[in-house]
Amino acid sequence: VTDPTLLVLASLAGGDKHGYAMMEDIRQFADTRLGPGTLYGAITRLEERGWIKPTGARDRRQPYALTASGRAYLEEQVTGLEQVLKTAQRRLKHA
Amino acid sequence: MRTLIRCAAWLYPAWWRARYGDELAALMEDVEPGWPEFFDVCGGALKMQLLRGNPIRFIAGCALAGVLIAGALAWRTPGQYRSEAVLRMAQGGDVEQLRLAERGVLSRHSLASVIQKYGLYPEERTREPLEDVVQAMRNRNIRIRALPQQANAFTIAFDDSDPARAQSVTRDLTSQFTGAMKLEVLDPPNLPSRAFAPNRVAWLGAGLLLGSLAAVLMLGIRRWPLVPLAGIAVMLLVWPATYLIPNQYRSNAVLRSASGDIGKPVGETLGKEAFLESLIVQNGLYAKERATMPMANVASMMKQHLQAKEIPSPRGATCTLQFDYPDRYKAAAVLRDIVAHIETTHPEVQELDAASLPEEAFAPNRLLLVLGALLAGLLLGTAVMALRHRRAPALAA
Repeated sequence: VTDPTLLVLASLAGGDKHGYAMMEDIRQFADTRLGPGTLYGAITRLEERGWIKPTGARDRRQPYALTASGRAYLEEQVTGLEQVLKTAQRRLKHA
Repeated sequence: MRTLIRCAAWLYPAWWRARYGDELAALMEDVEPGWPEFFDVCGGALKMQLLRGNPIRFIAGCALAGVLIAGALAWRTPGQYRSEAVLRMAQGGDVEQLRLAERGVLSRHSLASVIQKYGLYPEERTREPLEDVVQAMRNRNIRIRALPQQANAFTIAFDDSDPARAQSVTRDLTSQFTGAMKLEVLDPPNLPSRAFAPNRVAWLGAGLLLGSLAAVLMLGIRRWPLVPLAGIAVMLLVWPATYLIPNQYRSNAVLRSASGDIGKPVGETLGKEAFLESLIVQNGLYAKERATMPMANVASMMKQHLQAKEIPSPRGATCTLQFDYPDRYKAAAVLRDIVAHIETTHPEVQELDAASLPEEAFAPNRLLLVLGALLAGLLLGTAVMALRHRRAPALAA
């Protein structure tokens, strides 16, 4: 999975984080290094769609949290991915 | 690097900088930035400008970038200097002798020795056969022109990136002319003080135009990606391919017949295969073709490049004769030979306009080909998009 929006949502599913914390988290769990431009492009799109929101006091290191609609979207995506993975695993076993 | 990235962050739209600028700056304090981060921020800014930026400002920004790039290229391109000499043939001088002298000066042997002597075109000589380098030198860097305001006078000029070398080569070519026949040197080869090319203002204008065009295309890609992408792809494929088509130069001459029939003498001459074959051998035409096909076929090919058109004229039966060839000097020389042959065999025919020395190639028209390819690509993209929309409207949307 290399889609930056999905990676950001997955990172925020584990708790509120600011930009640098998201970058480090994504690097650890997905082995993907998001650049600052790519990360903030994804944050902009997600905030516009209402899937994430800034939390706490406004700060230069602004933390973000997953919203309910963001969580629902992530669950939908994960279910879809699970379906693909299960099918692929089953076919590989029988190949 | 942090300063550079901070500058790159200014490429984002103003509303974005107001909302996320401080956060991006804080993030850059936490990471160890390098070139990948710099290009990532530039790419992010470009995407944001395309998606949410002001289109007019985006076009203006791209136009400015085009001007800056074109300016940098124009100032890095070495200047071309032209050294020129003016010569005059003595009263009553033999024009035919002058033509022979010109043919000798511009011959492969003569120009090859000049190239060797002055170490011209070192890069081209490693890539291309000497025959092609000599042809390019004749077509691009040597200019021989008659001076209309002075009878029997003409100029000879040579262009080079080194002004002193341009003068030396012009001096060499001039001395070859004066060695071949009696000529008066009215103006000796000058040492050029100013470069005549590149035209930096034109380059800046082209940068402005291309930058604006690129911005419009990028904005188009955002909404209908397939259409401009197909246009650009086809254009980029066709553009380098046009340089595989050799330049064609056209020399023209005008003939008149006192007998009232010009078609017969011209047709008879152009129909003589033996004569055309002798022209091919004498002038060293179609070297590559002669290596692969019989002489009769080469002569037939030459006929296709020769055209005679009768033109209505109050002064009697008149016709224009044209010959197309990739070497402009050879195109003119061959046409002169044909006209001389017609005049010898048909005394009633006389030359009204001597065979012209073409300055510019008449074909291929690369701009037209590239624009045609762009249009074809745009139509192809539109057709594919319409087809996709028809098959799967939801997917295409």
